Amino acid sequence: MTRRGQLLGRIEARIVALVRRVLGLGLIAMVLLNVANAAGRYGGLPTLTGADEALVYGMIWIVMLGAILAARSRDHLTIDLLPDHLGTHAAAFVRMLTDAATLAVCAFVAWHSWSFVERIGAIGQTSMGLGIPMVIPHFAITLGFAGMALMAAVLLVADLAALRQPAPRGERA
Amino acid sequence: QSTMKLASATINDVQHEWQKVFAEEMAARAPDAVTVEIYPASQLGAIPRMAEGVLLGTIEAFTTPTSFVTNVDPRFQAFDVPGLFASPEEVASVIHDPDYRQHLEEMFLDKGVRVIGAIYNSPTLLLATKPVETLADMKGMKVRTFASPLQMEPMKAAGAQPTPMALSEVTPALQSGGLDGMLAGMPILTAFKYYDTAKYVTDLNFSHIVSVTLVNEAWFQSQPEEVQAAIIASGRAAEEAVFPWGVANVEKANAIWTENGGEILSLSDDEQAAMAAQFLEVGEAEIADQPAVTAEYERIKAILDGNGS
Amino acid sequence: MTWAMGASIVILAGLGAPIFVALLAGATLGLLIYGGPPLIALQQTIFGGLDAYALLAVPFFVFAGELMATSGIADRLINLVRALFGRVPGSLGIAALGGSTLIGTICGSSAAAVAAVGRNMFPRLVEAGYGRTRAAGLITSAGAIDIVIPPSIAMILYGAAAEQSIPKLFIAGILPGLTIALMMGIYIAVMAWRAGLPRDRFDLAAALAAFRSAAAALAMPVFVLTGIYAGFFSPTEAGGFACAYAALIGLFIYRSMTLNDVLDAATRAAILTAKIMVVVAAASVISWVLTVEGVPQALIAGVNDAGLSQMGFLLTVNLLLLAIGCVLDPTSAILVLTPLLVPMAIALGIDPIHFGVIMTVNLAIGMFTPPFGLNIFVAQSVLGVRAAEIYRGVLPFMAVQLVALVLITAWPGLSLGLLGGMQ
Ligand code: NA
Ligand code: NA
Repeated sequence: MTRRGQLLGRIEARIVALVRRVLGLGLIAMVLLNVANAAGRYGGLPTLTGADEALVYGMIWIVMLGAILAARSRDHLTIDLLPDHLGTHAAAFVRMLTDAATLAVCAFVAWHSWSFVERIGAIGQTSMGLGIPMVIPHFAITLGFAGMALMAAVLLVADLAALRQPAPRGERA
Repeated sequence: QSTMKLASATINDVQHEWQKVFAEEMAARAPDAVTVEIYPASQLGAIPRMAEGVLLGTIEAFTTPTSFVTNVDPRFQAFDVPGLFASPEEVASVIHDPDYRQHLEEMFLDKGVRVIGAIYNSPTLLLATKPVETLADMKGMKVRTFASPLQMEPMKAAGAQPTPMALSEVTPALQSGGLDGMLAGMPILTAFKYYDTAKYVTDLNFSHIVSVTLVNEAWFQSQPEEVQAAIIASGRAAEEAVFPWGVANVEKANAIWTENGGEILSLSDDEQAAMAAQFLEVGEAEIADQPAVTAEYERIKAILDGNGS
Repeated sequence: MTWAMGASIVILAGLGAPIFVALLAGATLGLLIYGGPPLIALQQTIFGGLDAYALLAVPFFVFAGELMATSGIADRLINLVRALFGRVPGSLGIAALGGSTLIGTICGSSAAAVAAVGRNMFPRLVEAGYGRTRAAGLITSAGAIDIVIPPSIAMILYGAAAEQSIPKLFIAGILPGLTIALMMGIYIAVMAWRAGLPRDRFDLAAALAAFRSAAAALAMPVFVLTGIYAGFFSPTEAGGFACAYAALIGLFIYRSMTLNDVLDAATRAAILTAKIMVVVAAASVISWVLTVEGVPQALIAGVNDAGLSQMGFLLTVNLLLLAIGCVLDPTSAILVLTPLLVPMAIALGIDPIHFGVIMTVNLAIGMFTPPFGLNIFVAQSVLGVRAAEIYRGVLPFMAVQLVALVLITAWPGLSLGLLGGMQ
């Protein structure tokens, strides 16, 4: 691996560790907001208008960022019947096929998601409860699918590179 | 031939009835030009998704109470100011007034939507788990409202605690005492059989729900001129036709409510007048810093005054 | 067209592509061939599939499950059940089933129950000799009870779409849910007895010790249930309180966790939630495409034209729903099908509350019926078992639940009996 490659690898690892922390802290923050909201309502305090929205939009952001991490480690929910019964070469081929499909589908969705976000931004649509621009929650989908497309592309390139090397065995984790 | 998907969140109510009559009118006026498909009961997604859908043209038309599209254009709030309308007839005298109807049809074109149906829905009531017969009874009640100041501020003024909450949470909350009441129209209350959960309804007579059907303007403009004319005419014919249906439907819903052991209460005349004055003040104060909404509100009031009401 | 959609989903998923990719590829193909709504509708339906308050139950209860496992709450509860039911064959399997049913009284999300119970019970079941296949099958199928026992997201949606009373639906779900649990319990006991799985001894002193050790843990379901029925929090919010409770017990009573452990549990829960929810979102796109293309409407019209008897109709509906449960999540399926099916059911003289229970049980079974089903995917991920093992493992439990479904369908009294006083 080149030095630049190693540097990129370290930066990527930092970003991943950061995103993982953000996800965990985000979920804890959601729990706290949920508890505060219910306790406040029960205790007769003014309700936090838009707490519902904040929780749901927070969940959507967590889902899409988490989906990128799952894509990075090929950890999404799958049916693993066929790959189990294939030889090493056939399995590698099928894996590249499914990576290509993931890349195509996610890039396609990200593309149309972006055009939606652009248009909803131009209209200036805001949310009912918090009054925030709807671009903020919607963009989570764009980023999530773009990120998953990127991960699929990286995995696909790595697989292709491994295919051209004479000894692909045990090279990647 | 093009397809026109009509979406709404409810079923078998006046919004759904308007859509059915509209489809019949279209079949008569422009046979084979447009296929009208009706998707009630949130089949095409939750209310905010349907609103975005009609704005961006993924669905052609959406029928909804005005209070759910105030984020599309704040002027929709004008219809929700408490104390504006005192009766269904007053609502009809405004939304079916020829000049106003024309203005209403075109006032949101800059947002990319056209109003093709203006529909009287029902009065807003207070559902409660205990009887509310005086203003004092409302003190401290946790009342589910929309996250809209025009519902929340009047409830605060009455001493209740406005509590915006997802609709799916309302029934368990009412059962357990997490909520003491909610604001809603009677057709909704009977449709979801709320009499099993809370038996008392008080008609505070402070607001009447108006529904509109919005059509995506870009789609509308893509239709041939005679189809455009047919859509406009069908929408207006349908709203006139379903007005008596809607009024009768509210009465039918009231009857269903009492038949199922529910009670319909009201405040004394004095308290009603005091509450109305207070709500009106709160409502007007709420829109005071929004000139466009206030202007629309004044315009509606002028029509009502002209009718001598 | 529908055929091409279905084929592309099956092929891609069969090759091992992520489930959400297979579903989205099918939906996109459908939209492209059909040429109807603009493709930006993809964004709306994906977002709409996630933008539902009731779905917050998923991250909250997945997190609660992680915390119960990390803090030792789950261990103590399981030790107690083992100590109490030691002499019953299959006591550990029954403990897993009971745990799932108990979680069902707290939450309305099947996938969350599979994750919470699976995380704690799967290693123990395997260790006790149940084998990976049987243990995975048990946990995956027991999750279905969760949406039949109230509270239930599926029933709330059915009530809204069918204009039926949600409290009545909840009460109607109690006996059918318990029936499924009882039948599964009997099956587990017989199976464990025939397989000669080891059973424990009953020792009063040990049972009392287990009880003392589990006291704070036992208070958790009590706390959550009391909170819901006293109106302190809603069924969805209960998930958040369950997390807070488990974290406080682990941090301050048992002192078995550090703040860092809580953060790690939250991170694991967030990523599992993400994997579950992208499938839910993709399934809602499929459901949207099918709806705008009129597929469910056409199916219903076909059923209508057949002029079926009451029993014939119910049987057909059962088969239809089991098939549909393969592709759609219960949420989408209920929203789309209820308004179409209920008028037909009422016309045939079927009680709409009873019908709601039948639909819910059907879709619950569909969630773990091979090849597709959210419970299966979640179990694969949480338990770390292969699809083939789960497929084999769920079969006997599927048979048991199908028998329960027939019973629930043919005997309206089971659903409506408790409602006697209300009607
Ligand atoms: Na449940
Ligand atoms: Na299935």
